[in-house]
Amino acid sequence: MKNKKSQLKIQEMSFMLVALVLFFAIIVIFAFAIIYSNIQKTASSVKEERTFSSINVLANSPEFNCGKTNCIDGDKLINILGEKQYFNFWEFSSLKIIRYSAFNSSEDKMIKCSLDNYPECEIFEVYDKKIPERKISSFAVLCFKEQENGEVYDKCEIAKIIAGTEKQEK
Amino acid sequence: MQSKKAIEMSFNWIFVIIVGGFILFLAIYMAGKFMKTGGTGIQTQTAFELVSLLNSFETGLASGKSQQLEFKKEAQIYLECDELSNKPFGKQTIKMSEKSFSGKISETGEEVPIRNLYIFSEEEISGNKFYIFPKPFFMPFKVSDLTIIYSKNYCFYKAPDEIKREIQDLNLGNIIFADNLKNCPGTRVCFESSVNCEIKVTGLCNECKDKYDHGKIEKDNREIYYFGNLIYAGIFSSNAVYECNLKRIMNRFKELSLIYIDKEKIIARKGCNANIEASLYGIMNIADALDSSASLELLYRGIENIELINKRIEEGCKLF
Repeated sequence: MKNKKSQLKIQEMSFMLVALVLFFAIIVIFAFAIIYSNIQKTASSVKEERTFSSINVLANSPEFNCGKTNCIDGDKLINILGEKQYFNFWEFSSLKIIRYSAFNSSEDKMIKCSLDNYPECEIFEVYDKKIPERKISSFAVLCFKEQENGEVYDKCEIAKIIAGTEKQEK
Repeated sequence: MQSKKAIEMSFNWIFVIIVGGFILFLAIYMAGKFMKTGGTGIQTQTAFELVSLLNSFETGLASGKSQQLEFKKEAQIYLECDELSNKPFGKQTIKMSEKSFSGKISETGEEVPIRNLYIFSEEEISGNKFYIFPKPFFMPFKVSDLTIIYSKNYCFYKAPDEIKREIQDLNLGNIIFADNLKNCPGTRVCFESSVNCEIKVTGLCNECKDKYDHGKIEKDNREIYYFGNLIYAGIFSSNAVYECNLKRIMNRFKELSLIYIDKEKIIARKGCNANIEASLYGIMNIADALDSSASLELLYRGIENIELINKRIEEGCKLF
């Protein structure tokens, strides 16, 4: 009788412990889910912040700059399109510069710039890692050399810089 | 009979103590892990935010503004530089930690990579206040911004007027100027030979406008060489960070030279004749062979030559 009673007690205790462990496990999983989603959100916003701070000063970078503040040199830009060494230089997942003449066109209809058609083109695609991304844009002046009546001068216009920031997978 | 009862009680207690203890241990362990992960996460986020801030320092052609970074608790910044990874540009990594209330240094955050910036500082800097300032670096076109971070107190002894003016314009903290070493607290940076100085700067350019245009810096029983704004990088950074970043800058210079060589071809379509390609290739070879700052003087001469060639090009056709 006593033996049965203690067996029952152990059984009761085991059930209680299993329930307790399950309860804690659920709490831990719940806490993990909240923390993980917060980390993802923070990582995304920090990456976006980094892209935003970089894109605003990108035109001052020596690879682009025309010699004036926030000014892109088209004659330099055309030479770095698709250059693989720059894929991991800036923290962007893609980088494009759109000329003023194409501001109202959709990207797939724009004439891509290359050494053959420059400057009669609309979009400079520096690189595109083709990964899920969020696009952030900024504006800068785009200048390139032009010749008129035998005189060479800088022709300038407004251009849009579009940079991608990697989206966190959900 | 009595003895049996004692065994039954003891089994219950042993069972409760073992399982309860295990659960308690697990709970404490998990709480500890959570706190550690949270702390590492915060340090990583701070490092990311610092890099975002540093990114916004990219200047045009003029010197940028300085920034003072203040932490509530004493923070540590750890900087590493590797010129061989992420070819051809190399990279730096930054990670952070801070002092806890008990005075212990917390777990460091994850390393944040920096590929397009050149941060010059000691490998480990600590303090509540950090001073950051960018300086553009030209060879003779702009190659990069030198981002300088420091937290220590510096005393510049007999600094030339040009350097004094530039530092005063940046409104930097923790730097004082003195003409007497007795009233010169902190790390002493001497511009005229003196025995009791941690850092000694010697101008080597006798035929230049300013003899400090290029020269050498002696610190920690080693010599590093500089020209232009690299003087600030040399003063405020460790020798290892300086030499590593110098190689990274040379790699970027080579890539930029190629861009200018291609630009010359593009603008030739518009009737421009820059004729700079051969000289640029020549200086690229010198930059390529540079194994330490000791060979910078040769490069300095080549750069002066390129600047002269560019000056001679007609106004509308200048390369930079």
